[in-house]
Amino acid sequence: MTIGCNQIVDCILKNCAQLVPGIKDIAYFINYDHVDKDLSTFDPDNPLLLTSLVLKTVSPEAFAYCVSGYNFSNEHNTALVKKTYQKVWDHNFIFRVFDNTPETKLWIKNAAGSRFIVVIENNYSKVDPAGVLPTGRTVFEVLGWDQGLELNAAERNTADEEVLGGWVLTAGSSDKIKESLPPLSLFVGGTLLLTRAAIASMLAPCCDD
Amino acid sequence: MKIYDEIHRFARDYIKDKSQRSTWKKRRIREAYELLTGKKIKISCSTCYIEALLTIVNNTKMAARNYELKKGVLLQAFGHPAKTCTNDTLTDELAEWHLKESPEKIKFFSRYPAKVRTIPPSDIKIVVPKKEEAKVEETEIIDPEEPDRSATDPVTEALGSAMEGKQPDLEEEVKPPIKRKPVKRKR
Repeated sequence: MTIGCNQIVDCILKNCAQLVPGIKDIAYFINYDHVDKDLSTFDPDNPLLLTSLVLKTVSPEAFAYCVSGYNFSNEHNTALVKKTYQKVWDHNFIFRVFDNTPETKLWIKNAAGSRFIVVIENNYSKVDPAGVLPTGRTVFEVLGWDQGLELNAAERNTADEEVLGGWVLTAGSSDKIKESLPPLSLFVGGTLLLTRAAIASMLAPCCDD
Repeated sequence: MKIYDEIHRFARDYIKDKSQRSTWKKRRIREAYELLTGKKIKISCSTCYIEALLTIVNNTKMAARNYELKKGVLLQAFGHPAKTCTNDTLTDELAEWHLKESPEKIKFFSRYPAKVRTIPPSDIKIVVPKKEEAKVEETEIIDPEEPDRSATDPVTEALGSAMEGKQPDLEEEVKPPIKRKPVKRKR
């Protein structure tokens, strides 16, 4: 008899591929309201594998906006949060902005008043040793699919020796309402190349600058 | 040509909504205006950007592509890897091919010609239902001069009260029923 709704149905075997920590310096921010959840699709066997991420056709035009860090300045962590009856997931994305222009501050102000999902790119891309599963399923992840993330902290310390007067920003789940699942893997069209192409089709023109 | 397309796409929002006047849009306007006229815009003059934007919009045209995919959509067809495309690589020919193969993919398009909706798939035959002959129901037309019998007929009243257990008023003179005129029926 189980106390929950799920059961373990598979094994985790030793992974001989060397794990690679960290994420890329570029992340993509998408306004939560701009995600078309009706057209986005999941793998029928795995609710953690997003196979298509589609944006709505709205005015002003919806985009995935780039946020570029520098020298591994972006970080991500996720954790299980145990509530009295249910278990939920906390998604966090910590990033640093090495600037303090009026445009930067306007971006931070706008982000503080919005909800968004974040697409990150892991350094780790697993190659299946058996050659059965496609390579690249571990690369892109989506944070905040259920509720969206919000800006939980924004700090600028002019005496900071590491950021040198830049901004340290923390985006994460809401204090009380967390995500129902760990971050989703994003893998479109069965290859990493097509996943990159799908992401490229969402990017705002400012990503080219 | 791409830079003009970009400007055409955000021009309306840029003029209408101040919050949409982001740095990259201003940069694009500056680049396009310089490309078109050879002149430079004063960076701090916000009215100059709007004037430049109108100049660009009035003197250029958007690329003539009839179809556009929603952002993030990857169109694939089983057994045809060469037909895989995103919005960045979509052409009118590819869009028409995909829509002919599977018309339900129209939901992935954000822009398409209006006639596309009426193109039936090649393997579906449209059957037009036959028109049924209009049936004319025979209706009884009540003579407007004829009084309402149900309300005034004393026999009916008496019967109704008998059914309800009441005694009919015997003192009241029972009148014979009124002869009804023949009613004309129209076909």
